[in-house]
Amino acid sequence: MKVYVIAATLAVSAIVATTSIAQQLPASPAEVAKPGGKVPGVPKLALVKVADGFRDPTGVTAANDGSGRIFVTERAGRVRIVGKDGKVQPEPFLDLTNFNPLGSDVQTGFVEQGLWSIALHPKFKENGHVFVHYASLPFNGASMVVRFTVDQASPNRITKEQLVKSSKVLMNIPQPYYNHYGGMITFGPDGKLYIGKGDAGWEGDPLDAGQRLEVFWGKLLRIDVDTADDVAYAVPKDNPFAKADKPQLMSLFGITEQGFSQIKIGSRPEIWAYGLRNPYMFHFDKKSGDLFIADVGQNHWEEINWQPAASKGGENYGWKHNQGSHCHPTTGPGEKCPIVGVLPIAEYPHQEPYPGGPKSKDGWGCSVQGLGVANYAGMDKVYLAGDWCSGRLFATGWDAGEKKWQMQELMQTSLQFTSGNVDEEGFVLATNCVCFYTEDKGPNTNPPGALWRIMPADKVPAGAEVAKGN
Amino acid sequence: MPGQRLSATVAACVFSTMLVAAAGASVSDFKSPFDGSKMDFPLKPGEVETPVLKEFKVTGNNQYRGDTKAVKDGKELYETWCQACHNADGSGRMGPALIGKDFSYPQTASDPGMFAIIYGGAKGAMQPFSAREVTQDEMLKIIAFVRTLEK
Repeated sequence: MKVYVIAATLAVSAIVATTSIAQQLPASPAEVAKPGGKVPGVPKLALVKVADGFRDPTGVTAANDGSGRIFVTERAGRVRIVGKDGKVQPEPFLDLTNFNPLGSDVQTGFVEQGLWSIALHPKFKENGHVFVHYASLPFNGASMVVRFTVDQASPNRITKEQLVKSSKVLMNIPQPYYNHYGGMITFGPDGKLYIGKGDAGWEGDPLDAGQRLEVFWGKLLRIDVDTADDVAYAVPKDNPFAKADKPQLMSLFGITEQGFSQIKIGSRPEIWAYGLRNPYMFHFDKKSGDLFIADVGQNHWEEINWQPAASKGGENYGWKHNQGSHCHPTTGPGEKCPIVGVLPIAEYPHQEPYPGGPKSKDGWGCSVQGLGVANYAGMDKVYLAGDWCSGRLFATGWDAGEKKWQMQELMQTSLQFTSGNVDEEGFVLATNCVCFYTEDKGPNTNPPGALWRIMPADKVPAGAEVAKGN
Repeated sequence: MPGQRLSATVAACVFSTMLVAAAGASVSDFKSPFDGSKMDFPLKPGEVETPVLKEFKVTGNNQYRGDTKAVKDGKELYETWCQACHNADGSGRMGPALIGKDFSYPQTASDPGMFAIIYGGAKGAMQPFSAREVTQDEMLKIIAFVRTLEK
């Protein structure tokens, strides 16, 4: 009997040891991965064109219903369907630009405004529910999360009538400034809808939104959409702040300090994680359930955050106290500030890692767009991300041999990366626009962007167009 | 004698032009920053090939360098099209530095090389200016201004 207990204890210890060695958060800024590392198992990759002609593509989602369809959001407010054959359906799947008799429902005045994302309900095949996130014109740029339902008789097109008839507004979050909305929405492996919300804009987070728990800005939100039609959504009971603001009798004695610290009056129970600046793209690894968040940085550092599948939420990613593993505002070597909350696993700099610092030659950018988690061609839970400005493609992954996270610049392309996701076959997809701040002529006027599939370079189909780069 | 003096003056002018040309010109840099392939620069419909542009395409010599009016025009164009990414002093911000020696693309150092990048685009957000409302002649003025930023 005793032997069994010892054996069991050993087994448990072994599991714990394996788990702790498996992957862990950096314990200090020095452990945060930077470009220059080597992510194990990443082959030479190529971006293979799937389809083009999209007007400012901003998001992409695979149908995952066996149809092979891929949905691409266009900033103006349209969702395009790319068929299994790579052909783009001429009529949009969903069009937010013309159901409102007074004009478009989508605010696109600034390049960060528009329709950003479409998420399909985990039971989409049965219930036809799709969810979109966009900046509203009638609500002065407020960000809207709205559900529409596909008429099964018209699976590739939600008509104007069907759109109006089936609409259910889940959230209407006012936006004070025209930037840092966040954008992506997606369902986690738990069936809950996650919403990336930026810090509401300007620069330097003047509202201190990232750290304030009573606002939705600067957060990753998590809601339960499976409610009655007259209930917008429900707060999952296991959200980290689900009960932090519950009405209760005050008790001063017999409560631990830990207990008191759980009381956060005014906090929003929808919050899953906070201290984010602009989590435009984030992705769950379908294999492990882990979550990666690409948090767009300000002037000096772009960061990749990671949550193991077992996370209970409540992580504070430090903005605006920290940018990446650095102080904010950063002054460079020797700066001193507390590291608030959880460190990113990886970060890459802008041209200058701090004001007046040495100019980076490689491995820099200005706006990180997460693309998706790759589990193919030798890659094991490798998070791919592209930079909107420099066109660089980065990989972030765990190096079991070195017991640390690694970040590697894979190539620099001609693309302004905007978004990505994983397709039905598990390949990471990416979209690019030609809509940079300085050249934005409007979402219907900018030169078209494209949809790409990231494949091993030696598996590129004959005759396929490959993105320029090295 | 007067004739000889004239010849000497002409020769000196030609020689100095060649020196200037040598500083900014390398027609072999009319190439793609992606793969080094030779580039052509077709004009847009209705776009005029100015004498300065014509000369530039043959010799790589940008006659707008040091031309006060052209540099002034170039500054205005730079402020409209380039400054947001490359900074007012060319030190770079979202885009790479245009001054110094350590360029993202070594061909930036020569006027033809910089012209090829402006015209045809490079990586990331540096999309081709041939697709925007900027003429090739204006690109030369922009370059002439950028070169004045070199301290």
